[in-house]
Amino acid sequence: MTRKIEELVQEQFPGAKFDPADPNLGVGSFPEWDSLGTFNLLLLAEQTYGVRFSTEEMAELKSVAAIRSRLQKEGINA
Amino acid sequence: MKLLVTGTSHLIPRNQAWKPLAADHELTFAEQNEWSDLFLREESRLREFEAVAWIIALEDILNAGSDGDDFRGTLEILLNPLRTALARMPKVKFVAAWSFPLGTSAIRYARSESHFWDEVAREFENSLRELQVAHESLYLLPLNRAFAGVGRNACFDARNFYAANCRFSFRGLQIISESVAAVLYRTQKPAAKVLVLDCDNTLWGGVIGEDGLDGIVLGQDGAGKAFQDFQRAAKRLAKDGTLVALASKNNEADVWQVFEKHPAMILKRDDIAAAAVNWSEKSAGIHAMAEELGLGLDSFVFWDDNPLEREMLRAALPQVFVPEVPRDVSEWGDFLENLVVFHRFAVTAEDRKKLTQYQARGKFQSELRGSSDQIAFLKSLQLRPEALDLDAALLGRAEQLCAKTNQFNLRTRRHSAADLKQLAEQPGSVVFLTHLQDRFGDHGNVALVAAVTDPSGKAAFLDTFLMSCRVLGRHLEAWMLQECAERLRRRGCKKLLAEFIPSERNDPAKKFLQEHGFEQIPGERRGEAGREFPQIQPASDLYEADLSRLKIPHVEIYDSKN
Repeated sequence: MTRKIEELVQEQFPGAKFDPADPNLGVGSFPEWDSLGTFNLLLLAEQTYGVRFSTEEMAELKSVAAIRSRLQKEGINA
Repeated sequence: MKLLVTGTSHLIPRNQAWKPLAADHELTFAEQNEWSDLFLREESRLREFEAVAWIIALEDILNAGSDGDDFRGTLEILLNPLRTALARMPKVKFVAAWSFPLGTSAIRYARSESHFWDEVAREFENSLRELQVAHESLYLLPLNRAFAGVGRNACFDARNFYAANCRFSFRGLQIISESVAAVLYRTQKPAAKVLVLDCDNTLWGGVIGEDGLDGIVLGQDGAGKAFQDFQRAAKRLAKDGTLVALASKNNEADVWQVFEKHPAMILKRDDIAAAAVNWSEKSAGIHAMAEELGLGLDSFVFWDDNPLEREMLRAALPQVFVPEVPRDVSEWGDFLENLVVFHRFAVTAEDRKKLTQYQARGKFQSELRGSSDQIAFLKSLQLRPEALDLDAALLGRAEQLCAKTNQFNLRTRRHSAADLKQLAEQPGSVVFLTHLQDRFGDHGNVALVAAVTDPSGKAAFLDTFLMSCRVLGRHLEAWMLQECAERLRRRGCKKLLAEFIPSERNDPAKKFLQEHGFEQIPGERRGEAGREFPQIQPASDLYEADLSRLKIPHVEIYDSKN
């Protein structure tokens, strides 16, 4: 079973309060998700889905929606 | 522990790679390169921490191509703050981890041995090793070695460097995290002491009871060689002071026949410290061996090829570590060699004598049990105890005894060498180590006594009274008490107070005071005693003895000598 990105967000930010259904869930949605938070989340996503993001992508993938569409390019529905 | 993580790279706080370390420690990350200020400044928050992980990527501070003097100066900029911090905070543990670019070219190393980074790394490590001589709180973690297991390239990530200023990959950070955790764990908990081995299909292929001496697989090509290599790995552990024991469901005679008669056996009967070879459950055998050797079950490791036996043992004795043994015997030798639970910071001469000491202990106990008159037997041992005043040369051993003695220990105070020196220097105090020799050999310095007096000198308190479990059963504790009481009496002391503070392991010392002439101090007089000796603990059993009337049993065993 492929893990949902929202589950990863929960794992990376265990104390954070957020709405998993929020279509704009991303950096700044809650205080813990800052730029370091994005980096940590993307490294966790790489480990979880077995993908590799480029230097540029590390700066661009700042929301659940952006990560989801990037994963879809590799046929991963998360 | 409260652990500060700091270094030359950005170390990515809250990354999942830190999980192995965060599981047991409270992590705080300093800002990148904030460490030098923290190490140098007198009033920095460094003193809030019990340990520091200092993680250096040498390429963060040096560029390849600098000339010799240049890089030495830069290394000093790294090392000076560390020197200052080590000297200022001797109780904080420092784990210094470092990596450097490693040349892998087939051509560059073909006709010359050393290049810029090799030289830098050699110099850096030498300086750190020198620092280590003066500072026991410094632990070194050469990262290139730690990374080699998964391959160095997997541990670095140029993308992370450009995106977040971190040289390391997720896997690299994970290995740093696991390695620092392993080092810190060993500073808190000693290595396992006993490897318990199954026999059939573990030390050799096949079942001795069915296949016979000629039928078992050992020493021939293929699996036979792998079983031998596994035995070699066990023998190496034994040489360095890990006790090797057997737990096997077999006829005992069959098993010893293999040890004595099979030409391909690497382990010999003399290498085995204890054995439980019978048809009972292995957990019962391991329990009995723990008693016989006087060691806690948490210092045992059990190796069995049979998953069912492993599961049963885990359920029966959860304190025993039971590794998941690889299915293929060809992997066993390396697997055992790399089992961290046995790894120690260093192997001492004392460690190498372990097996002989424990074998002597086993022989003593079986003779003691077999004798009809135990007092006569003990008298026949020619026990020769000696009290040694605590001088500078003996402080290290005294500190070690305080740190390691769990069973026969009245108060389990883990005094440092500095604490002990202070105790010995107090006016009126009586502090001595006890050395013991008997027919079973020289047992070394095995016990420590420290008594302090009140300002009047009329009353004393037994601050430390402990004895290594390897000489239990000889009533040496009675002799030590006698010696201590005699020394106090000579100084005009009238009364000796003592307390028993229960710990998880010191049951063997529980009844010592009642059985050696002490009477319990009633609750209403505790306050008075506590004012005289503030080190008395609130939840202890408190006793006293009148030194002029103190009658100590069993000391007659030692009369022949005195």
